[in-house]
Amino acid sequence: MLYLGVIAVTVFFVVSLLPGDAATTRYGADVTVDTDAIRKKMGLDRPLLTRFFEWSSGAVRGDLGRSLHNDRPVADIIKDGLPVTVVVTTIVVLVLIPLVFAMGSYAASRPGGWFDRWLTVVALALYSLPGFVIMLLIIVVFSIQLQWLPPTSIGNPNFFTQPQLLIIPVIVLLIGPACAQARVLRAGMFEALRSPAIMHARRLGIAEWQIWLKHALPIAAPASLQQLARTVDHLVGGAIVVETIYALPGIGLVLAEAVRGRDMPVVMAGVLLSAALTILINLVADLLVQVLSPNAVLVR
Amino acid sequence: MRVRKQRHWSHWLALICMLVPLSVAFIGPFIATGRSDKGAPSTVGQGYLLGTDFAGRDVLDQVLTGGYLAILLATLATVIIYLVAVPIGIAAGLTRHRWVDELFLRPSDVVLAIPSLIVVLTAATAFPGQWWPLLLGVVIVGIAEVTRLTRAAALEIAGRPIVEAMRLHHESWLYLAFGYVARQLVGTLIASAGLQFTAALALVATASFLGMGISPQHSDWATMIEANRAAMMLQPWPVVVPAILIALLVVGVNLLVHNVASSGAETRLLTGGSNNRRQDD
Repeated sequence: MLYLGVIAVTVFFVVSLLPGDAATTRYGADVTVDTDAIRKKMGLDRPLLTRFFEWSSGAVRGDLGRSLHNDRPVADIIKDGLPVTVVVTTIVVLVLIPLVFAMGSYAASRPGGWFDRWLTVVALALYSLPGFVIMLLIIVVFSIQLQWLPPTSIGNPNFFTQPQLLIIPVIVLLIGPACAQARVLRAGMFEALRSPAIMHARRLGIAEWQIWLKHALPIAAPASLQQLARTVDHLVGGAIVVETIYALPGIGLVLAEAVRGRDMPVVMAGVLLSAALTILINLVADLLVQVLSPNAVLVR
Repeated sequence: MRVRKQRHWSHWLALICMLVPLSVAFIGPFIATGRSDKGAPSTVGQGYLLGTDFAGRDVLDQVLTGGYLAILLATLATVIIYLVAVPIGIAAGLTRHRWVDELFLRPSDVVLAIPSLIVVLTAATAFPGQWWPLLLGVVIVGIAEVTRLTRAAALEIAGRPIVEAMRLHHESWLYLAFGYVARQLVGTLIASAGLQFTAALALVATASFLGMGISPQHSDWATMIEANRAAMMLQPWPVVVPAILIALLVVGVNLLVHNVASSGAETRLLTGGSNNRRQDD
């Protein structure tokens, strides 16, 4: 909670002190509009501290304020965007975990083999490739040339009737975290599979699948779990790009528009939501590390 | 032998991947024709090698002149990040005062809890059309990451007996930090600098693609992709060519980092570098 408070104060004051505001961003180029009147209407003429205390006292009670652009409650805007982003990111996480485990374990079981070398090189090469580059290249090949997948969504997408709309966003959001996590898990599994405990388990004749799942994975997983918070950063940044290109009405699109228009209450809500998610995932990861390896020393 | 042959091949692949976009970005502006005549918008051919863009301009000219700014910004950001973050990280790793460590680390924790793209976009939208707020945003995110990395690596070195011995001999803090710890960190920092450069390039390009980075008035690969995206069914080249060039650069730098890191590890293994270090200690 303290972190969230510090983040809220930092973001509010930094964004407010930067030149320009929602009124100038929206109407700055329009000479026929009285921006001072608009600023007054938006409440931006009041002292910064007053605005912050108003916003923070509302936020503590669960009232995130109203958008400066369309006067809609921020909670409603977030609520409208949440389902799309939650569906896409949940599928990404559900695919990510088994995929990373399979790739990392297989590579670690045959160190120096073709898959291990391929994974190391491909994962490193693709790790920091910008999401929009991957997405547009996929769209050009699979949507425009081969016409297998839709190039964009139209209107409010229904993932139950049009599941094909999920394929490109999920692949794009999956690539970065999968590359990072597979390499970390591969390194962890490599160490784990050669540890004295696993050697001993093999001598006892325990089935190989049991050794991998029950003994090696708990040794290898902590390093990978501690990287999970970076996945949130990747998913939020990725969601902004993916939803913009695919015209998916999710949180990413809302956040991109809010930052572009300096819509402070929406920016604050989006930042606090992702910061809370990062902190929550860190906590869950720490708890899981403690459960899996009680002797692990948590270093952040 | 097979591994060495493969690494040789991998070195060449990394160099080619890097050299193609770098040549286009830095030699391109000198060979661009700069033709001012405009053709029909978003057409393929018609006297233009790569066709025309949404505004009827020559795509090849736009590609040749649109690469250097983002690459220069990412390079400058990487240099500033390391100049600021490395001393802070070393100071945090070497200090015996918990409050100094907290003072250096907590701000980076706050920055890292906010999605990096939001930090960059927020900085970039404050002064639309200017390049330096974009640079500032990328630098803030990078400093937070590199400070943590340097501090973690310096912490391990600070615990070595040789550092204790140097402290007992009243070596100055500056000598300890930059004469010993920084020198031990060089390999780690060089490997991470490559990745930091590609991360900075990705942030600059993504912000420009979203219309909040490099001004659309400048030729830029990412803004070019965004501007021509709507017409890519008719004319894919203004999207495909810059996208491939950005991808090649990122893949090339990452592969080079991988090759340098692997050959460094192999050299240490062959020369018994780890044993030597232990003897030093």
